[in-house]
Amino acid sequence: MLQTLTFFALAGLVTIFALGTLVLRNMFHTFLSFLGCLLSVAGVFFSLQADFIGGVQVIVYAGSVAVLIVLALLLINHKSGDLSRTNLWSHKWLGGVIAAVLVGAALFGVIMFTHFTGLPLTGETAAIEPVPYIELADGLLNQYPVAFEAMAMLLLAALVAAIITTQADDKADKKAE
Amino acid sequence: MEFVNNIFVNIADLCRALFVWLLNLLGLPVGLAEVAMVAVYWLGIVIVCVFCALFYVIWERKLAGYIQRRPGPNRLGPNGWFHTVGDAIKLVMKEDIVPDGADKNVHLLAALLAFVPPMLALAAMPFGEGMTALDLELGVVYIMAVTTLASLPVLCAGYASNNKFAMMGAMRVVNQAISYEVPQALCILSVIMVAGTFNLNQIIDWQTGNIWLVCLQPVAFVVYLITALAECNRAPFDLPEGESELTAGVFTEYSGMRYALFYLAEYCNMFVAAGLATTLFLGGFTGPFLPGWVWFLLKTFVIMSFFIWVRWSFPRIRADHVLTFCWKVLVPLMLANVLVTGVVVYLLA
Repeated sequence: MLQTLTFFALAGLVTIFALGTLVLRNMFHTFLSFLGCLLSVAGVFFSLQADFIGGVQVIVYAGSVAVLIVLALLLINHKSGDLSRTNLWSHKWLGGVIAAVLVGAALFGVIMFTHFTGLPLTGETAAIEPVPYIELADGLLNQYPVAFEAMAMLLLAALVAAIITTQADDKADKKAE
Repeated sequence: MEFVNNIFVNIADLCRALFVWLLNLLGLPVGLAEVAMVAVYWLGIVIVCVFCALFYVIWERKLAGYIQRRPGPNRLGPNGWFHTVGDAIKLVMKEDIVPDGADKNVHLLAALLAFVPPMLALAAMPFGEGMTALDLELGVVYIMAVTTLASLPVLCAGYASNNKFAMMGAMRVVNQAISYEVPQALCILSVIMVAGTFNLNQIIDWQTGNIWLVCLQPVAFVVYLITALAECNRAPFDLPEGESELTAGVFTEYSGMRYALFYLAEYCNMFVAAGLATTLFLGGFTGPFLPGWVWFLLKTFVIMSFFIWVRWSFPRIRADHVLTFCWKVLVPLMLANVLVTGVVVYLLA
């Protein structure tokens, strides 16, 4: 009962904050809304007894990624931080539709292929086992080390690519001067 | 002795019994007593927060006086111990000034949120035997997660003030907080590798059974203290405030009660960092003769005094030196420490 209520409250918060991220016009308000969304998602994890994932969600996303995003935005955007050209009020609907369809398809696929057991809605809430983080580590480092390393390589490649692309821009700017 | 040791646990049990009795009287389900106990725990944490903030503000001024061989505050009350109370009354009565160009809602929100991360962190702190409001299996991860959030209210404050000094201060906060999180996480990782658990109470148990972790991980302890100073934006890492360059940095446009909230939150953040250092490295609340919670307060008091001592001894470090020191000295050092710890743990296991 209590758990179902918590779940619906958190789900409502996630939805409201996610909508706020899309609709708000001030850049910093968008950021705050995004942050609220990330923290509410962490709350959902906590309410499902996935403490480790929830903690990681807060440390990595709310603590670091969100802040880095806002720093990047503040460095780029010298004006008042008006987002009306990039968010829901923009007219670039083609890219938006493609992105929405792709993300929707991915989410739909994940939801369809996951075997949910003990959903918070079914009432069998007390039986949820906490995620065993030792098994999590075992899975990442012993069972699927190749996938884990491939992911790390991909992130490293993205990092290097980001550095190189920004570097190229610098040189072009100097030539232009 | 046993009674004094368990005095707070007994008070909590008394409250719980009272709630159960009341609920029975009203014919409500007894399970609600646990919900009501959450409120009692929060009340306790708020009291701890306020008292430690008020006490350490005056202790900082007194200790700075002793260190610099001057009287320090000595007017109000015996030996000047009531100065903080006077300051608090003055700050409450001051006019609440919000600049015209400020983002007024975020300006207020930042001040209100300043106290949230340290309070959330204190909820999982083992103050004494059986005195953990939230005894989480992953207590260390939880505390790291919520202390990470401590830089966000300051960032909001810097943005909302609509002042270039405040904004620069906020940028520095974020730079510093995110950079120093990396070596801090590695310090905590070294401890967890040795103790083999994420649970704070089990880490303390491990230290009771073996040896204080400061003896096994001296490098991690020293680096943890440095990173804690940087995470709390304390001198010599107080660049976000940097009054010689940025007037008052992020706090330039804050006055009165809102400034007081930030100021007190700084001491609470320090208290959390000192408490975590006590728990991870100094055996937590364990110790002979005295009750557990007294030991916890004594050990945190020593570490807090060390933080204050550092502030009044070292000049502020330049911004690029702060980051260089983190990425080129602390991170490699802690990576090496983790490697050595891992090898030793593997060989001994």
